[in-house]
Amino acid sequence: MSDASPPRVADYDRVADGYDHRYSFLRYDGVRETLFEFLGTDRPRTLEVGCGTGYWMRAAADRASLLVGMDVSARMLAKAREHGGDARVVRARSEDLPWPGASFDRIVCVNALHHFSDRARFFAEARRVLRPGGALLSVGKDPHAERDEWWVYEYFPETVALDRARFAQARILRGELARAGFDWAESFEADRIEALQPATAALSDGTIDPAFTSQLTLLTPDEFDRGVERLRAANAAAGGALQLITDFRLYAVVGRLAPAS
Amino acid sequence: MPSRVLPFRHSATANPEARPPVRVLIVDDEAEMRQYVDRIMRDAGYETALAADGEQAIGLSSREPPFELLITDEMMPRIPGHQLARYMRERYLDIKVLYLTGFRDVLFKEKGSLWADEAFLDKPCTPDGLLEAVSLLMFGTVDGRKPERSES
Repeated sequence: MSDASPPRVADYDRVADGYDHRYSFLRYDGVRETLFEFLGTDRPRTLEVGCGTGYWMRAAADRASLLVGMDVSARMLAKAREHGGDARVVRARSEDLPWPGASFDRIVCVNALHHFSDRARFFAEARRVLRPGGALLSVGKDPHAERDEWWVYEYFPETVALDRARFAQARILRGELARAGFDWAESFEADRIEALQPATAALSDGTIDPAFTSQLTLLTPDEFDRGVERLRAANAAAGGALQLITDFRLYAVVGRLAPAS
Repeated sequence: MPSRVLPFRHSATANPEARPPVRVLIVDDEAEMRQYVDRIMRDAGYETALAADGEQAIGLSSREPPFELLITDEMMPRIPGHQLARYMRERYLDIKVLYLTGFRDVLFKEKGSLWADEAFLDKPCTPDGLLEAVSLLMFGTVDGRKPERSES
């Protein structure tokens, strides 16, 4: 037996309240463009798996004839519902989609795939509920690429190994899509998220909080506290002028089904 | 007593293209109301199933082939009509909803506004009023026919 501790699973009921904070200062323009291009202009019937607070559902609302969001976190869904409108949001697990076959034209996962406990089963389920000619888009980090710089990894170093265990490389995902029965799979860089934040402000405005990002939620309280101490010490050493660097890429993986013959 | 025969224009199968009858789930905690709506719908050629509350409706839906239309009361014990409708729309993506309620103020206090593919009708209603509302919701016309393709 290895000495590995059991896998850590992010509790999104804890993240719900602070989650949208990220969208207030990071732009995600590349993700938005990728999403819009993926949906196209035919207003496809669209499912977002791991819809969270519904941020991307609201962005996509006018581009889909029918839009359904799904998440396992009841509190995330309550947030998504607060925004009202015609949004349909369902509490379900990604490994067991509660719809009959051939229900959707497009399935979207934004920063969500790394939370699914059985990716192969999710891909098989996605394949099942897609119509001929349908497609799945997943956007997420690839911490294996080692091209990224992120203050979360720097000051909370335990998060690096956790993320490498959670996020798969794009080429692995393409292979898994093929095995699930997708006819064609591609991947590309969708966005580069860059930001500088003064550490002093971040320490007081809710950024340095387990609710900000699931990486911090996964840490033990001790690991989290040690990270905050590291950050405070670095900020003090910099005379309170420390800047937190965010510079990471998001990759899109797309699986497509052949149109009906 | 022979069942009442409604004018042909209300028939659910009066479409030029022969199609199977529209499947309707009728939910009301009042048995008389349920049966009244059921008789009108069946006479007009719709295929119906009945439930006395939201829980029954959800159970029935999970066992039966999908329904295309939900006709539901709003004020029911445990699960109000708008919550039942929300659940059904999330699981059965193509279902349409007709609220049949004597308490439209309660419905709109809860819901704010109707969504796409939803309509409401005040209770009590006449057979013609019910069938016209259903036809408008299902086919976009009051006479049970699919709308003519317009020149555009």
